Order: sequence, then structure tokens, then C-alpha cells
Amino acid sequence: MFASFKTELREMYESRNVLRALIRKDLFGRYKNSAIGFAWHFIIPIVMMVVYYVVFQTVRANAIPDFWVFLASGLFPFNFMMTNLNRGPGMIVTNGPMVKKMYFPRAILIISEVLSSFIIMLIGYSIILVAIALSGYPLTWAVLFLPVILVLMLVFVLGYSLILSAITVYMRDIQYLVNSLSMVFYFLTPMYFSLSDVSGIFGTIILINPFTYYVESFHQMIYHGVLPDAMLVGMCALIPVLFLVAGIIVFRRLKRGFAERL
Amino acid sequence: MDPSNAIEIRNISKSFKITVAAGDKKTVTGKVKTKRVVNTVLDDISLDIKKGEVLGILGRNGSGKSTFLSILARIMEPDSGTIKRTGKLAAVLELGMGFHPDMSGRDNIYTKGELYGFSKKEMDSKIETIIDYSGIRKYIDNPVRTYSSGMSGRLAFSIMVNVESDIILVDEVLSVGDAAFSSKARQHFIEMAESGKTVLIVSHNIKFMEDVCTRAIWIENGKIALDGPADEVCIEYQNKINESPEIVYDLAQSGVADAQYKLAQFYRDGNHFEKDPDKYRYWIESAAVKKNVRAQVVWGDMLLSEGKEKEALEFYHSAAERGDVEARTKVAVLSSSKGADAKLVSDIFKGSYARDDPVDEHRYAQLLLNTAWSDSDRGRAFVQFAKAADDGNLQSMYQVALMCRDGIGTSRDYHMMEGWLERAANIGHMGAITLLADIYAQGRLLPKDVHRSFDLSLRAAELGNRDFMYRVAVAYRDGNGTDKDTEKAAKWFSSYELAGMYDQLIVAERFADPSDKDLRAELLEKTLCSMNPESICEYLELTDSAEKRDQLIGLLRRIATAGNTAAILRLSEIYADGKLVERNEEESKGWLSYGSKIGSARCRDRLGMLQ
Repeated sequence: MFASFKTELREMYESRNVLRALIRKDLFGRYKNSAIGFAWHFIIPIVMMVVYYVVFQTVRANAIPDFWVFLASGLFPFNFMMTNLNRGPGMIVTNGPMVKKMYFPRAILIISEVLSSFIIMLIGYSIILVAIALSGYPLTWAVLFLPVILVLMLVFVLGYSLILSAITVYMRDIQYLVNSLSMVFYFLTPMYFSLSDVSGIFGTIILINPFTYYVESFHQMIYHGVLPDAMLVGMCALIPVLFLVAGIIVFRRLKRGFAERL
Repeated sequence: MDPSNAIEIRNISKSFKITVAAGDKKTVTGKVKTKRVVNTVLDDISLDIKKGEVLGILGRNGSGKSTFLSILARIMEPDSGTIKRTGKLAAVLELGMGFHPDMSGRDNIYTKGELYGFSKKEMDSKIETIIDYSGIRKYIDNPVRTYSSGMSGRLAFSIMVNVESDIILVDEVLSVGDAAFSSKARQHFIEMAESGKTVLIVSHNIKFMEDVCTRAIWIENGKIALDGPADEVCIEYQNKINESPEIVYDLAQSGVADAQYKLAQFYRDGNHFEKDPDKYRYWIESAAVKKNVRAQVVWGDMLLSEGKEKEALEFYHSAAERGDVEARTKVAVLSSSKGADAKLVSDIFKGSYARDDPVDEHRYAQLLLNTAWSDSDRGRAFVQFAKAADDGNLQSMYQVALMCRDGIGTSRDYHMMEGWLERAANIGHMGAITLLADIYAQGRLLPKDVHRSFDLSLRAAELGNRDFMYRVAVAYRDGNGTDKDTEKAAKWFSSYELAGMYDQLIVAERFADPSDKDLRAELLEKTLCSMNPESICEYLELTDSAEKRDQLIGLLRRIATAGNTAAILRLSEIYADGKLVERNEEESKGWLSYGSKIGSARCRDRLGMLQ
């Protein structure tokens, strides 16, 4: 069992060229047909940021001061998680022709999709952080702790993408189920409101939602300028471990039938 | 693992659960009820594939060969069994896959190479080779979406064969590209195998497999039905495909003319199916209407036997246009409808023409030549003539020699011509003797040789050729090709004159008083130099002298041996009735069989009557 897992890992390492090719295809192929190409990866978050700044600085519809900073600090990682929640179920299915016609460790498909969306997110997130700093908002050294949470989040996303992509091959309905559920997460994650403002049953539900811990950690580090507390860090570390282990088990179990089920 | 093996396969099995309709019942929602059944695709397969082998995998659709390849490529996992491989494996189960349409051909080469597991640096060293091999350098920096399907197929194939893998799996990809590219690919596979790599190919192009593969396996019902040298397996497989009744029936039903003809044959012969003349007729007609050449001829024959000559001719015409020799012959004969060979044609119709009979062989060849439409038809006639000549037919020998001389149906070959002429001349064919004599005398086609020319001329003269009597006389007079001999010259001049008067002498003999034996004998004596069997026989009946009789029989035998049919028939009669010589049936039959051997139809017919 572990011996074969080890060979699989080695094989995955040997297939790093495949991974690189897939990521490059994803990043550079996406805007290939457009005039400015890769620059779109930068332009889109800038436009987003301008919109948020203008809307929330002038409208002031929310009680939270500097709401655009609050929103921006959590929005990019959250979008990354949602994107992969929505795309995750289809990662194997939409690559059916490739899975049926070529051999490479299947998990590479998932890793490449997650990694490329992670890279795109990082670009946008860095731009927004620079913008926040330039706007004179007081950032603290807590920002340096960001990469730790980002990496943990990446592992978490990878974990559930593995599970969803594998199950969807056998049950296509998963795709649509998850798509409709992701709408709910927009409101069950403290994106537009502060976690401390919520109480009662709604508060409990929010705490069951794993996405909450990451978004809240980002709020702490950027908006509040403090390190996330032990409970947050603990949850941020525990969740990826659980999901990754489950993901590996499920994926390894189900990948045997991919080619014939597609 | 044996170090000489590239792949070791042990006891692999694979089955799929498939959903099939369960009866005609419908569920409440109107759907047909279904049930799950297990379909065993591969059943306990073991195989060693050696390094340097080009292995072809044959099998019908659904036989499991694609599953087999998928399992080897690790795309699918077997239910049980193990597979061991050495070295890097590249699988091309579909060429166009993995291309990004918006990226340039060059970028796609890198991407695809990386998908095969090579680093960018490794690809840098290969990219030029790949572009050259694909033959689309001009377009290499355009986006792949602007490529034709042939171009992207070629690009993909070039990448596949030029990246360094130890094992290459190819699934039905050789349809890409034009003929030139395909032969390039073929060459490449062979070279790869020679350099110790292993290539596995699945293709329905059996011809290609036969050319390229060193070994082939044939998968049927999940098992390896046959494993061996590619050519043998391919032939077996081809036969099976052609003969398998289910396949033939399916194809026939779906309107494939060749299969319909085959199915008709099954019904005719009671092969696989019960004999059924009506179905035979039905399928022959279907195949003929669908333009199967053989079926058109057969159907034409059937129509002809029912007296529908016009309809039959239409089918013959259609088959003849596409090169069927038999149909052409029939068209030619039916169109003229009065040729002397009508009987032979009808024999050929009935299939009763004896293939080893030199007489019929010659006549068939003659017919082929007369109805030839193209050089290949003439070639066929030539082959037929050569066969008859080999079997001893004199006329055919002469014909073959002429065709060699003129380059009809074969290439000009004076050496071969000489051989055949000599053979015919040795037996005594007058045409061959005189032609060869002329050729040696002229020294144009063959080196000049006056001595041989003289010998042949003498032979012709002795056999009664008047022109050559004159020539021989002149040769004796001038010492050309022989020693001067005025006496012999004079003798041949007089023979020449007598031969010129043959008709008058015979007439005179007819008008002479029948009782004046001496006068008649004298006149007949003068005709002898013409070697006419009729007058020799007349002389035979007239003379009382046993000595003269022996001399005359000797003459008759000489010209009979030289292939004179009339003389042969006469001799056989003489020996059969026993009036002039002692009765000898063996001798009589011997002459007839000699006659039929060198190609006389009359001798053959008479011999047939005797037996």
C-alpha cells in the first residue's frame, strides 16, 4: 500500500514536465488569441480593485470602516477557493479525451489546474496588496505570515478538488450539486460582514464552514494587522490535512476506472 | 524479468459492466428496461514483447485490441494480472490530442513534448528535427487552429516518433497525411525497431501491418487467437475476415458488393449456409447491380442462359470496362457473335475448357490477344501463349517468338525469340524455320550466321518450301553458307521448277488414263519435292514396289514429324486400316497423340473419338 504510494509519488515527480506543460498551457493559452495576452491576468484584478474602491469609498453602504480593504483582503483567496470548488468536479471529466488517450499520473491534472488558478490569484492578490499599501492603509508585519496561510489554503483546495473530481467521474450530478452549493458559501462566509457581528444559529453554521477560517485569517493579517489567533491557525492547518488525506484515499481508489468511465 | 523483453504481460483480464436492454418492457416513464451485464474484453492474456520488435495487433472492432493497448499504455488498469515494462513509453492513441489551438505549432511541440515527459531543454535539441520531419516548416509559427487536419496529424506524428521513447504505442494513426508521409512513417518504424526500440501498432490497414511489423498477434474474443510472424498472421486474419460467414453476411446486408458476391458463393456451395439457389441468385444480382465485376460476369452468364442476351451484354460491358478479361472476351464474341471460336467461348463460359490442353490453351491465348484492349491484356495473352508453348504447342511457340520479337505483351527479347524459334524449327514449324533462316541471313536481330541460315533453308526446302528450294540452289551455286556443289544446285533448281508446276502435275495426273500406271507414277514422282501429303498418299496407293512404298512412308513420316497435321492424320489412317502397311494401332494412336501434343485440334478430336 505505502510502497505503491511511494512509487506513485516518484512517478509524479518524474512527470513534472507534464505538470509544467499543463500549467503553461493554462496560463499562456488562456489569453493567447487576444492582443495583449498574458497582461489580462494583471488587468482584470486592477479593474476589480478600482471598482471596489470607487463603489465602497463613495457609497459607504457598510458600517465597517475602509470596507474596500476588508473586502479585498478576503475576496481574492475566497474567489480562488470558489473557482476550484466550481471547477473541481469537472477537472477529470472535461479532460476526458486526454485521460483516455495518454498516460500520466492523473492527479497531475488536478494539481495543474489548482496551481495555475493559484498563480493567477497570487498575481491579483499582490497587486491589491500593493494598492492597499499605496493608499496609505497601515499594514503591519503580520502580512509576512500570509504565505503560510496561503500554502495551507492551497493544500486544502487541492484536497477537495481531488475528491470532487474523482467522484464526479462516477456521479456526474456532483458537478451541478456543488455549483448550486457554492452560491450558499458566498453568504456563509464572512466576506461582506465581520465574524464578530454574527451570533446564534447562523454563527454556528458559519463556524462549521471551513472557508470561514481562511477568510477570517486574511482579515486578521491585513485589515486588522494582527497575527491570526491560535484557534484560527490551528483550524487552517488541520483542515488541509484532513482534506488532503481524504482526497488522496478517494482519488487513488477511484482513478482505476477513469478511462473506462469517461 | 527477461532482459531481452520490453514488455512482459502475465495473465491480464479485463471486463466491463455494460447496460443492455432487458426485453421489450417499458418502465412507467416510458424508458426501456435495462440490466447490467459483465462483458469480458480481455481474458487471461499473457505475452512477451521483445525489444526491437514491431508488433502489430489485429482484431475486429470490439475484439478488445484497443482495451489491450490502453492497458499497455497504463491508461486503464487490468482487473487482474501484471504488466512489466522497461524504458520510457510513449502512447499515441490519438494524434490531435494535447494541441492548444491558439498556440503556434512550435509552442505546441514543446507542450506536447512535455506531456510526453520531456524537459524544455531536451525538446530544444529535438525541435528542428521534428519540424523538418513534419514537413510544415512554413506554417510552424502559425496557430494550430489554422492547420488542416492532415497538417496537425503530421505534426503530432512527427513529435511522437522523434521523442526518445523506448516503447511506442500507435493506434490507428497512419491515416494521417498523404501517401508520401505514410511511407516515411513506415520507414521510420522500421528504423526504430532496428535501433532496438519497440513499436506496437493497432491498425485496420492489414497491408501496412504486413509491410512494417515483424510480428503480429490477432485478438479475438479477448484471447490471443494467433501469434507469429506478421505476414503469416496477416494472411490468416485476412482469410478469416474474408471467410467469416457472420462478417460476410453483415457486410452483404449493409450493401458491400464484394461481400454480397461472397455470400452468394456461400449459398451456391452450401458453405456455412444451407444451399439455396434463390438466395444465390438474389445476392449475385445485388452484387452485380452494385458493380462487383465477378458477380456481373456470373449474372451475365445467368441471364445469357435464360436467353436475355441484351441484358447480359450490359453487365458484361460494365465488367469489361473495369478490366475483366473474361467479360471482354464475352463482349467481343457476343458482339460479333459469329467467330470460329464460339464453341471455345461457350466452353469457357461453362468452365469446361481444359487448362492443360495445349490446343485449347493456344486458342484461348489467341482469343485473349484478339480481344485485348490494353497492354496488360496483351501481357496476359503472352503468358497464356507461353504456357501453351511450354506444353508443346507449335503455333504457340511461333507466336511467343513473334511477340518477343515485336515486344507485344512482353519486352523485346531477341534471345528468347531465338530460343523459341529454334525449338519450333527443330520440330519442323515452317514459319519458324524460314523466319529464323531469314534472321540469320540478315544479321540484324541476331548476329549474322550464314551456315545456320543455310542449314535452316535446306530444312525448309526439304519440307517442300519452294522459295527456299531456290535459295538453297543459289547457295549451292555460289557457295554461300555451304560448299559449292553445282550438282546439288542443279537438283534444287529442278525441284524449284517442279514445285512451281505442282498444280499442273496434279491436274495432269488426274486427267491421265487411270490404267497407265507408269505415266501416273512418273507424274507423281515429280510432285514429291513439294512434300504434299496428299500426292504422297496417292503415289503410295498407286505403287506396287515395296521399296518405293517404304521410301514414301519415310517421306510422310518426315513431314509428319515436322508437324504437318495432314501428314500425321494420313499416317494414322494408314496404320489404322492396314492396307498399305502392316496394321499397327499403337503406331496410329501414337501419331495422333503426337499431333495433339504439338497442338492440332483435329488430331486431338480424332484421338478422343478412338478412346
